Amino acid sequence: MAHALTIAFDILSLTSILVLLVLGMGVIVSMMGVFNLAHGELVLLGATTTWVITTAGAPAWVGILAAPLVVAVIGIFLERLVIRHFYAKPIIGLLGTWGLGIAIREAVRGILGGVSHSVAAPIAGTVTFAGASISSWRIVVVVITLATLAGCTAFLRLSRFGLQVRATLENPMLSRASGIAVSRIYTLTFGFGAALAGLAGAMLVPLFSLYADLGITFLVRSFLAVMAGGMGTFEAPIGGAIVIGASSAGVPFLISPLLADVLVFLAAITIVRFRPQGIFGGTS
Amino acid sequence: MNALSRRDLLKASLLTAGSVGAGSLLSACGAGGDPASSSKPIRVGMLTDITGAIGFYGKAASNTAKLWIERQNAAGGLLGRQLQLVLEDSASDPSVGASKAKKMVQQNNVDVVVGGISSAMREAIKGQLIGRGGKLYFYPQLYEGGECEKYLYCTGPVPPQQVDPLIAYLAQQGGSRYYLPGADYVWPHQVNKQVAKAVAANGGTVTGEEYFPLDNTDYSKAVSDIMSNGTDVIFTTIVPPGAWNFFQQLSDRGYQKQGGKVVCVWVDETAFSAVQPQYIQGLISCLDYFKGVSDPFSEKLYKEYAAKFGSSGSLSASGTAGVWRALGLWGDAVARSKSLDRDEVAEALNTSKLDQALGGPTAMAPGENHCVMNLYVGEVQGKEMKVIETLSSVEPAQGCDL
Repeated sequence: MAHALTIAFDILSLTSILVLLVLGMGVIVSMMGVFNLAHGELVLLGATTTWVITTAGAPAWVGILAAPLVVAVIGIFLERLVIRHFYAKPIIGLLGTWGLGIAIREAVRGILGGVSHSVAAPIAGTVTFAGASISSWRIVVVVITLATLAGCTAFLRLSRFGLQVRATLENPMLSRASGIAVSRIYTLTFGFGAALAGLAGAMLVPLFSLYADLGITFLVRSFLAVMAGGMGTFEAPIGGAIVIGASSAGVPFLISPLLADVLVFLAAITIVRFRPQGIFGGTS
Repeated sequence: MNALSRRDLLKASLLTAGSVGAGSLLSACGAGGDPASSSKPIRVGMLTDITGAIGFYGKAASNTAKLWIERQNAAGGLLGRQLQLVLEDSASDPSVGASKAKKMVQQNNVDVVVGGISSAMREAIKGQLIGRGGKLYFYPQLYEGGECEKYLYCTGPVPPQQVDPLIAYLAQQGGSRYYLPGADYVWPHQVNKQVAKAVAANGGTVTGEEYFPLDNTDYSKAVSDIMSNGTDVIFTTIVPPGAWNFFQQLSDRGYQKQGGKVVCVWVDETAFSAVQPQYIQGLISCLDYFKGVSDPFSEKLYKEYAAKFGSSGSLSASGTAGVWRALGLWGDAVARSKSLDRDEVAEALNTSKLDQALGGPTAMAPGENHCVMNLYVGEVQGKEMKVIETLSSVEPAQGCDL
């Protein structure tokens, strides 16, 4: 019983991690049509911010709260400077954001001195529940992911800014004609996506330690989740993250982890082949 | 007009080629000829990853080389000549390494090369250095073993050294059921082969052997197996960055609290910055050097290193003792053969030994091109790697016949 419970929690926890990572990426790709391959590096910047602030002696919570804000500011700056030139050229955008990612990654590697650094979780230790020992911080990650998910949905559905974002996504021309400052909306949406990436980085760094390749470790899987889930809505990439996250966490319990890795990729490619709009995407 | 200028060009380039040729001929004479008459420094090449993913280890290695050369020069150099370090950065990228190896032999005109960190890098540069380059090449890292090649010397520990005496020690301490999780590349596979043999020889059993992709970050499956199959020793060859999370997951599940042991033979003091110490308490490693090694010479070197390069403790990064052995044994062979000729030095190297070196005394195992060395069993206690057992003069047992 305790054994089954820990396995179930492990799958839940890993799925939440992927959802948290895909949230920001999904917002940017769905709302703006830009596949941001530097997204992993925005996650890395969130993790780095947390490390810098906690190393300076501030409590870990401060670092975790500061990370989304700092990365949002960096994101807005990058959108103004670089990303906006890619809107009309998606292929160049892929290359450009990949290049941007390399630049950020190597800069961070320089700051870190090429070694891993650990960041203590604000809540360490474990909780014993029905005989199963579960990491407290992983529980926090699951809770924060659910809260962020709910917050984002409410924000996009209910707020005025959310309405403008959705309108701009549907029809930029008409939105502009209706008096929405489309270019400002793009900048803020990118900043919002970057903030989510920063939050993901801050939440993950106590689990995985900080190293320069932290971002790309998760990039391929996040990318796959977005492809499998589908683009164009806020929900579709999240659905993809749940499917990919749960299967890549669960399948290793059934077959060799080496084979599981390949199998999840194969399944995702098959999905994209037969349903190019993704599992949860509408007709595109 | 056109033909004339082409001829001019040809003449000019021939002249340049001639002078370059003469230059290298001259320096070749300097290197191979009567050493006492030459006052030019002996050029010691180091080709390592100063930048890129494993740049930290390359810096530690090159710092160690600087320290060795400084001490050697203060003691009068070699063959009456001073030593000069020629450093090239292979940037953690084997293709960069291959072209830097070419530069090392063609332009830098070094007398010996030490370097390479990953096995992929060693494979990329060794042909260039010992084949076409005609150099002696020293590879200073711990690795999977199996290199038996003339002029290639491996001065780091190999699986028989890190595994056999350690498993015997663990069996003495009561370890009997071993689980072997590893990253899916050559080193973990070779180490686990050695572990399986040693465990069987000591009357233990292997409860499982599982490999994970190199970039894997989640080990729920391994932890879950370990907790349900009565494992009392985990011999892990999972590597960073995934390893940090593996230790954390194990500790969260309460494995160590139950009295389970974790063994990981690449962990050194640098781990303390990469993972919260509470997750690795009691972890056991087995390496050729730790900061806590108590022989007076190693302690003295640690102080000198810290004074010169700061007390970041990078001397205890894996590979530094291998660099020290490489340079020390080579220096000893050059001094005894009174020559820099490759074959004469190689002949002398076969019987080289050092009474004092970083990590304790060492000797070249004759015909093996690998080193006999001390290994130390370290245990994480607090934020320190405590040496709990010294395994003296362990043979590399590679079965080479060179």
